[in-house]
Amino acid sequence: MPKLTIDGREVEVEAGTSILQAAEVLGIEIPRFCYHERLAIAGNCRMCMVEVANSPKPVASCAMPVADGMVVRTNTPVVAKARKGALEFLLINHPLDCPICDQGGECDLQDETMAYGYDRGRFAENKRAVQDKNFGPLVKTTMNRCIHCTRCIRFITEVAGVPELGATGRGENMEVTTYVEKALSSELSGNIIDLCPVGALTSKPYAYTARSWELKKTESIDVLDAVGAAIRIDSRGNQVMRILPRLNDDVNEEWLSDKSRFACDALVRQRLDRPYVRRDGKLREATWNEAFTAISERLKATSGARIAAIAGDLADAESMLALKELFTALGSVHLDGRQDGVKLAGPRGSYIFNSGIAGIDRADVLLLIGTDPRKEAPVLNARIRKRWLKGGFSVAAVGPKADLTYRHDNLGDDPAILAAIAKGEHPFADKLKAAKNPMLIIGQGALTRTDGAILLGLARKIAETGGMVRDDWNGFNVLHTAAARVGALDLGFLPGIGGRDVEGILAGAEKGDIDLVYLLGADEIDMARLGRAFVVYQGHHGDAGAHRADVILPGAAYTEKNATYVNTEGRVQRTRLAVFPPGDAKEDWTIVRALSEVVGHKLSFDTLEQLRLHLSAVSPSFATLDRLQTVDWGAFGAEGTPASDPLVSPIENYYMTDSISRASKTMAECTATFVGCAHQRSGTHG
Amino acid sequence: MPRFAAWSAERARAIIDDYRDTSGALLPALHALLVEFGHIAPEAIPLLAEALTLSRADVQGVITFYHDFRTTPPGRHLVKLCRAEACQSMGSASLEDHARHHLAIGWGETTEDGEFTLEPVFCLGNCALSPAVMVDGELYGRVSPERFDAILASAGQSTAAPEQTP
Repeated sequence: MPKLTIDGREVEVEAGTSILQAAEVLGIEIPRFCYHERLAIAGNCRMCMVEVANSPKPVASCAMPVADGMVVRTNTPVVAKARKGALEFLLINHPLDCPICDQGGECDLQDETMAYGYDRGRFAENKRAVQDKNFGPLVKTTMNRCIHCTRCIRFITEVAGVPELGATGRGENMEVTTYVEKALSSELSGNIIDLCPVGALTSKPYAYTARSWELKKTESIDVLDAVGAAIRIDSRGNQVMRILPRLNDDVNEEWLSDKSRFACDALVRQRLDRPYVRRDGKLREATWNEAFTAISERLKATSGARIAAIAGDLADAESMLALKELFTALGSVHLDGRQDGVKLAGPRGSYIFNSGIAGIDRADVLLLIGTDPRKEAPVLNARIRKRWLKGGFSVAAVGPKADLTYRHDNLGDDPAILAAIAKGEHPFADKLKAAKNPMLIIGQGALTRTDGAILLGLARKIAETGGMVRDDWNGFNVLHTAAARVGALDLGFLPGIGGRDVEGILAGAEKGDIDLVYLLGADEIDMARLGRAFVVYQGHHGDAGAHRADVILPGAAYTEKNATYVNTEGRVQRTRLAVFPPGDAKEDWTIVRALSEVVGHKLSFDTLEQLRLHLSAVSPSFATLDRLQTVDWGAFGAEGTPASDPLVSPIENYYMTDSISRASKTMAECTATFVGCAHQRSGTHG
Repeated sequence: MPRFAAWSAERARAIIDDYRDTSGALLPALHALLVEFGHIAPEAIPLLAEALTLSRADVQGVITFYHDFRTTPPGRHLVKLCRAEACQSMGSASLEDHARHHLAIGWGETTEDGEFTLEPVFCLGNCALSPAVMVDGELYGRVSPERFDAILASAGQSTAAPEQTP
């Protein structure tokens, strides 16, 4: 490995490392605009220049590979002069509009100008004017400010995989633009806002609303899909202003999908901020006591066998456990945390993404079953694309034809193909056998079908016969779409012995066998089928569930509570309270705890710590935070022949999948722009 | 008689196909299209992108980077007039005024009869013999307004004469 000296300090790095990266190893920071560690090297901003012994001119350190015996200096007058010169050129056409620029305060160009800028300009001519571009409802452009680092172009081309951005012209006439004036059709487009080192690309919904130094930053976890991306919630007063990604190499690297980033405007819209009780057919505002009394009276008049609870997609583990304990105490076994009817239970290995998201980097063959990862988990899809770009990776799909941003072989959407692969009769089975680390991803599009258990069994057979399950590798992966699902399965928010599942509860309510249904944020069930049942809805948004409810208990959204979620990999992560719930709304577990006292089955925990200890006792997986755990593998799935209905993706409109994103104005705009106006507006849909 | 063939997608596809298997094929392919049609029609972009497995944005970027890859058909004769420093110091400014006045067109425009297109360039590498002009690829030095008229007149005659195919 080459050894070189930087500023008099020796460092040994791998061959092929750039000088800039080698300097970073030593903790020497070199200013840069165009270089980004997750993008290809462009070498066009010229800010990272350093002096290399025996080189006649300063060299761009981001694009210069290290060589043995190289002597590099990063802090000489020559370097400072070169950087000052580069910066002066960049500033020639950069407008002086920092006071009205949204990037102000977190702008690389501002920071470097403080370090290398002159206090006045020598350029007396007019600055150039560039027409702003239309990048869609999420990204605001002010192209006068662009310094042509091309980070956005590289991101959209390399990571997002939709080559729509490019540069036209050259020199002063260079412009970054979409090929044909149209909105960026990527679910990851928001990331170019973070990447832009200046204020050329800023967030449209966040425009002119806050300054970065006014914001309180809270590190948390995203729950709008099942990836569990690390996020930073920026809030001012009691309002979430924006959401940014945080670094987590194992999950989201440093990307965040558009829904997770931009749906936060819904956190102040359509909120349930006080309890409601239905009287004379109309929901009326009530106090907590009135709401609890109404529920308690009903419960006392109803036997445990006739009450049921369903947990929704955004429910946290603490509140689900509290509700489970309460219903068990009330004598009910009708519990289900799988409102979409997914056929998962059984050993932990059967319902999580066993290889881990980072495991995709090690795979060499991938089979997608009934899933469109681009819509269901855009960040995870970007990870697959990253692996595909490295080469030696082939992808096949049994399921819907989808535009996945990487080349893949669609084998068809007939479930019979799976049976053929499992039996080894399909050519793809040979490919699996030849692979070193084969992997499959089975999606909710397959598992929520009535024959989901059979498909699960087929997937298990493919995994076992295809060499996916070994001591050092498990390539059997379930891709969830709901943040709550794995948590519900872990803690057993499932029908007890003789209990009804979601379908059974709905059928029972329809027939009149179930008299009371408790919805913990469950909005994606057919409310019409609840029949004459008394419905308690605990949640944060006025969506379908609240509309049907007889009593509404206002809960907290994920930015307003300290709560535990388990992502699709089985990674236990915690959200943190960034702002307080609005009005009378409360953290969800405390609502269940308070209700338990009123109905006379006081739960045994008084604090969140006690509840969490209890959670670890119920399911040991909750004791390990943020890390993946070894899981058990066993028999699961059913035998049989699947129905011949084609496999489809469960998500039709990526921008609206839950009660939060349905209430978001930004997501409604995205729907109109990218999905078309197929979405029907209704009273509950903002 | 036009010097260039009229745009034909079929012909363009045939030209591009010759470059399909060469590495770094975009520039040579663009040059070949330029020789054939005198310009790069926007219709050629998807053909190039598909044949060379590039994104349309990439192709568009390269075309707009080089000024010679014009996107509209030029006149029968392409007149390039140098406006760089050396020529300026030898009086190219008055030559520019003369040229635009004589042809009654502005930069980048084509005369009404479709005969001449006037384009500015920045250095033809003929600084020792400034001011320099290039007509249909032929370089002329020390061009005075009178000489300019004579060069254009002889170029105009060559179109009137029967076309000779090489």
